[in-house]
Parts: sequence; C-alpha cells; structure tokens
Amino acid sequence: MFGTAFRQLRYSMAILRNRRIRPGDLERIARDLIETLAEFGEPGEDSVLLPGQSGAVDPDVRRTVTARSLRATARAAVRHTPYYRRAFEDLSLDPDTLTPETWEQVPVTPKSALRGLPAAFVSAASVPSLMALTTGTSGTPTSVWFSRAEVEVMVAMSTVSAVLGMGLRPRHSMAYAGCSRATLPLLNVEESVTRIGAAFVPIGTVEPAVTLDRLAAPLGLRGKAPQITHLTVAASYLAALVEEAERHDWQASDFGLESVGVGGEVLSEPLRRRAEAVFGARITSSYMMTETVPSGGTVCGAGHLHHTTEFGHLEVLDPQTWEPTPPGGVGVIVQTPYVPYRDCTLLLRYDTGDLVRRPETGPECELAHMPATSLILGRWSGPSSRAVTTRSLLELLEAEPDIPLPARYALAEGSGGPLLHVLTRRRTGAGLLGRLEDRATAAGLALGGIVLHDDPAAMPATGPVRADLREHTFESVRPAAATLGSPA
Amino acid sequence: MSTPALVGLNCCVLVAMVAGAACFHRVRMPRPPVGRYELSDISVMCVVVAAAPLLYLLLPRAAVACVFGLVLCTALQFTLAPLTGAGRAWLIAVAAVAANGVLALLGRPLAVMVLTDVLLVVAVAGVATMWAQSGMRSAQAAWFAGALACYDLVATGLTSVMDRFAAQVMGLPFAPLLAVTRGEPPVAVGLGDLLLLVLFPLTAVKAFGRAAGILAAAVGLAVSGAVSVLFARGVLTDAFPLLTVLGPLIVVQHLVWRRVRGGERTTAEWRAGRPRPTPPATAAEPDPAILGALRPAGATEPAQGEWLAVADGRVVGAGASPGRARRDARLRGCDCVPVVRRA
Repeated sequence: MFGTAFRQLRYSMAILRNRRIRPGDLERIARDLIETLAEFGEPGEDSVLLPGQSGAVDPDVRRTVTARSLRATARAAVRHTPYYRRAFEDLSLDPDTLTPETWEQVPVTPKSALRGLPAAFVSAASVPSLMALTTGTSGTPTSVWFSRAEVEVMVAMSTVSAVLGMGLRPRHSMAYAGCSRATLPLLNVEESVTRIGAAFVPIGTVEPAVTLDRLAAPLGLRGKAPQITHLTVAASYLAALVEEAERHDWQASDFGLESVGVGGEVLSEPLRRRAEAVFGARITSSYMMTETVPSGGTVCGAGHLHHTTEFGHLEVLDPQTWEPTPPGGVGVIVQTPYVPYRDCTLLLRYDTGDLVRRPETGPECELAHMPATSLILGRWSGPSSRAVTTRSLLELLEAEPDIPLPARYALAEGSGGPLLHVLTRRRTGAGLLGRLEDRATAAGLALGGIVLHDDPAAMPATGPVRADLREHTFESVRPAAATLGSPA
Repeated sequence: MSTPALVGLNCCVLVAMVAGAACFHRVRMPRPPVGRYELSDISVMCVVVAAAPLLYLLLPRAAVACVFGLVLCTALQFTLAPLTGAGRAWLIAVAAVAANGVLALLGRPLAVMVLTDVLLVVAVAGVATMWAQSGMRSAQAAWFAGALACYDLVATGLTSVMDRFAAQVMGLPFAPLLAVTRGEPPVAVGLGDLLLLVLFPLTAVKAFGRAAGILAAAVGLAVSGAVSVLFARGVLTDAFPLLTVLGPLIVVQHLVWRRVRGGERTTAEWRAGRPRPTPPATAAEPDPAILGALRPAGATEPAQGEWLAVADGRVVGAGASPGRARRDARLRGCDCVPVVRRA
C-alpha cells in the first residue's frame, strides 16, 4: 500500500516536472493493479486517475500541463534531434518561448520526412533498441525507433488499459490476429496479457478459415474460459473473417468470444454489426498509430473519438493550408507525443494523414472532458479523399452481402465526378447497382457513377489493406495426420 | 485497583469490538484504486508504532495533544465519511475534537476522559475496518501482533518507555489510552492493544469465517479479563504489556485456522460469501473433463474425422480440424463446450 502510493507519487512528479519516467514505477503500478484485482475482484474508487485512464482534469490545470509538456517536448527535440535542431534554427524559434497559442509557429512534420531519414528524429540522448515498422499500406513502411524504457512504459500502460478498459482477467484468453511483423503491438499485447495472467494466443493474419478454426477450438485449460474470449484484429482482416464465417455457416455459438478489439483501419458500422452477429461479441475500435504512441483515441457511447490529452497534443488541421479546421470541418490529425512518455523518436506536430471531422458543438457524452472528433474517416491523399472518404465508401459497400469482404474498390476520375469501381460476387442479387446508387445519393456521396465488376482483373487497381498481409501456415494445405501421443 | 473500574474497562473493550464488527459489516470504507496491504506496510506501521512514543517523550505536552488531536480528527472523518458524507464528517470530527479541547481548557478532566474514550472507540473501529477491508490479511495482522508483542515486552515490561509515555499523556485530551480512571496506575488500555483487540477478529472473519472472528474476539476479551482479574487481586500492580500475551495467541490462532481452512479468503471471496479460499495451484488436480477425453467411452453416434469432440467422456462430434469438431458437436446438439482431441 505505502509502496504503491510512493510509486504513484514518483510517477506523478516525473510527469509534472517532465522528467524521465522510471519504467519500474509504472510496472509496479500495473502489477499492484493486478494484485488488487486478485484480492478485491475490482479496482478501488477513482481508477480513472490511474495512468492512461483519462480522468477529468481541471481545464486550467490541463492548460498549464499542456504548455509545460509542449515546451519540454520541443526543448528535448531541438536539443537532441538533428531534424528539429535544423528546423528551429532555420526559423529562429526558441522552444522555451512556445505556448499553446504560439505552437502553430512550429512547422508540421510530414510523414515523408520521418520516412526519409528516421535517424534524424532519434534523440541523441536515448538508447534506441527497437525499430518498429508501420504496415506501410500506402506503399512504404515508416520506421520508428523506440528505447527499451519506452517499450517498458508502453507495456505497463497497456496492462493498465487491458485491465480497466477491456476488463481482461486471468480467466480470459486473447488471440492476436494482426500482422506478426507488427512488433510493437504484438509485444505490447503479449506482455500485458500474460502479466495479467490471461492467456495469449498468437494467430497472425493467416487464412481466415484457419483463424476461425482456432477461435472455435476448445482450449481445455483449467481456470480459463473454454474458448478464446478476446480477439485483436485489423478491420479488413475482421471483414475477411466475417466473409468466411458467413459463407461457411459458422454461428456465434461456435465461438466463445466476448470482445473483439479492432484497430489500424476504418471499421464501418455495417461491418461492426455483421461481425457482432457472426461472433456474438462486443466489437470495439480504438485509434493508435506506431509513430505517436502512447497518444491515441477512445470511442465513446455517442460515437465520438476522444483523444487523450495525457500523452500528447492533438490538433486538427486543414491538410492543404495547415490552418486549424473549424467546427464541422474535415481535417487531418496532427499529433505531438509528449516527453517523458517518448524519449527516443521525438516528433513535433506530426501529420498522421488521418482524416477526422470536428464536431459542430461540444460533446456531452461521458468522455466530454477529452477533445473529440469523429471516428477516423480515412487517409488524406488529395482533395477527393476528403470529399469521398474511405469511411463513407465502406459504410456504403460493407452493408451489401453481394460485395465480398473485405470490400475491394477503386476511385477513378470521371467527367461527372469520381467513378466508384466495385468488385462484386460473380452472381449478385438483382438490383445491387440501384441499391448502391440510391444509398450513395442518400448519403450525399459526390460520385460520378458506380461501376460493378465481378472480375478483379478487369477493374482499376484497388488499394492494399492489412488483410492482404497474408501469412502462410502448413495446416491449410497439409491436413494434420499425426495421432495423439506421436512425436509429430 | 477498583474492580468496578476494571469491569468497566472490559465493557469498554467489548463495546469497541462490537463497534468494529458493526462498522466492518455495515460500512464499506473507500480504498485507493490500486494497492493492498503487504508485509512492507506492516513493517512501516511497526516502525511508526515503535518510534512514536519516543518522539512524544521529546515533545511538550501541548504539542503531543495537538498531534493526537489532528490524528484523531482525521481518523474520525474517514470513519464517519461513508455514513454522513465527507463534508459533514469533517464538521462532526472538527466539532468533536474542538469540544474536547475546550473541555480540557475549562478544566473538566472527567468529561475530557469520557469524550476521548468515545472518540477513540469510533476511530479504532474505523481504522480497523479500513485496514481489514483494504485487504489486510490474517497473516499480516498476526505479523503485526507478533512484532508489537516483542515491542511491548521491551517498551512496557523491560524498560520504562511506556510508563513515562503514559505519565506524559495522562490527562491530556486525545490521549491514546482508553481510560476508565486516572489513578496511579490508571485503569486503561493502550491504543495499540485496543487496535489489535478490535482488528484481529475482523481480519479473522474475513480470512476464515465468522467462527474464527468470534473466537478471536473471545480470546481477546479473555486475555483482557484475565489481566484485569490479576490487577483486581493485586497480583499485578504496574503497567502490564498486554500484547505479550495477546500477540502470541493471535499468531497461534492464525496458524491453526490457516491449517484448518487451507489458506485465507481474499476480500473478494469474503464479500462473495465463499466458505473456503480457492485452493492453491499446487493442490490442483487434473481436469476430469480432460481425463475423460483421453479415454472416451464411445460415440453417441458414429462420427468421422481426425479430431474428436468429447463431452462427459463420450465422443459427441468429429471433424477435420479442432474447430470443425467443436462445430460438429454443436450441430449434434451438444450444448457445452467439449474437449477436442485428435482421433
């Protein structure tokens, strides 16, 4: 009890003074949380005050902490990273004079700069130990260096979040069906899940049939739920699982899933509903990206994406002018992850490229104390990506059973506006085109027309999705033949 | 010593125990989001208990009264807060402490003693409840009792620390003594003794059940009563280190109950009303469902496949893969999740 209080105090002091966080403090807090659950079955009061739980903070306090965090982050970046040393020198900017009001003087960091020379963003004062690569669905992966201390801090934060946010307990089993090369999330999930005492089942993005089989297979472990209870997955791979399950008559009662956590890609509402029906589990999504961890977003009951102010500074800017997006407008998320949560790759005003809409009015939901945006609408790739967003297209397409999941589509320039090319099943039900056109009009999509294809070779190139990062296993091509007790 | 005063003292101890039990069962004390008692916490408490009298001996009496007043005020506030709300609890605590201070200034020693006793009983009931509900285990209470027994032997039995401390605080408002008379020696029980008399029955109830709690309370009262008898008969005349007797008895009770019950219940198990603690993993037996699946009795109907689904020792489905075997079992009407094994 006294030790826990002491470590919480030391952690709070590190945050308030923007000093280095001792990973051991956070690890101990996470361990104490697990022991608290073992003793009491639930955390005590005010668990929102724990690290990463985004408790409500007095606005004046938040403003002060934001100002100090931004200055400390800018100071560290200018002092220790080549990119920002040069950028601030060129603009004659002094990091010590920056305030939230003058923060816009700091130039936005494009993704291409980080991609071009990741070492230019690595702090000379840190010890890089892990290079995390993004999936690079836009063509080139971005590499981000992390120190050992950062990884340990993130694992501890993930442990706290898994316990309090997901409600993960020792009886649960978590399957990870993300890309096996996504080291940072894989390491985070594996470490946090096993620290809680729950079981971790790495699956990867293998054939959807294999994954469904794994999810349905009884575990037969004493003290654990009979089947896998939690699944972490990318939206497009979830779509592939839904497609496989619907086509091969898997029922929700075949699985023991309680919760499916989706991240990394846009999860449309129709896909969420279909997945809920197939798996009989709660489907939740969140927002986080490798470059800006541990900053991220949580979806509230009203459907907003609320961004944590504890770990980073959020701006929503026009991707062409870098001016703040007005309420109701669509802009890109620009993030500044704070030191001391980050000490290796330091980023100021990082352009994530993720499009969101700012709400017209202030939210009144349970997370109203946190900045809110819409859910991620898609990725900025030019003015048309803002007019016709990935989300609007997925909402349109993933509701149609005649369109195989994950939906494959391409936007091509047309005389009356962009033409939407869509891959459909070979034998589609009557009226698919009419239905799509009606729903596109009702949704206000500025499309020049919709073209259906049942042959992928005949349609324009579609964008890659994470489900395409297919990993091979032997079991889908070579049925197991060994019997129980054999060496094989 | 006056026999009626000694009887009165034991009645006060009983009242404190009943108040502690009532508070423990009826009031849910707040606890921090994270943290439970550990042995290191007990060590810190032991150090504080041992150092406090030595420190108080160095302070002027007025300063000692102020420190005790503050501590008592805080303890009263958190004891009453779950019943009255935090604001009102502060009002009541401050008013009670202020009233005691005023009575002391007005020179009303009897009123000060009575009010201090009442406040002490309430505070001890609250502190004991908070500790027990915050996850203090019977083992930790036993360690605490054992350590304090050693300390009491030294401070009360072998040295004059406690005698000088009692002389220093006697008559002060908020003195850490549940006193019935102020004679030489006073008929009183120290705060540490009272705390353990109230605390251990609560941790015993939580860890081992009601019988253990009642026995712990009875043992505590018996020790207090027996010492009182010795004082009444003149066998004892000076301050007696009560914990040197009570402490070892608490340790013995803990060891016996632990052996009988096979461990301690957690707070969650106590609240859920589980009669016994979850057996330790080292005592776990192999899962009978898996044992049954290793030698299934036979199929409900012929099933084909490389993987078999087995429930209650019988094959209830089969398939080309574990998931398909499980699905086949569901299609054949098996409601439970079977064990799946290779044929």
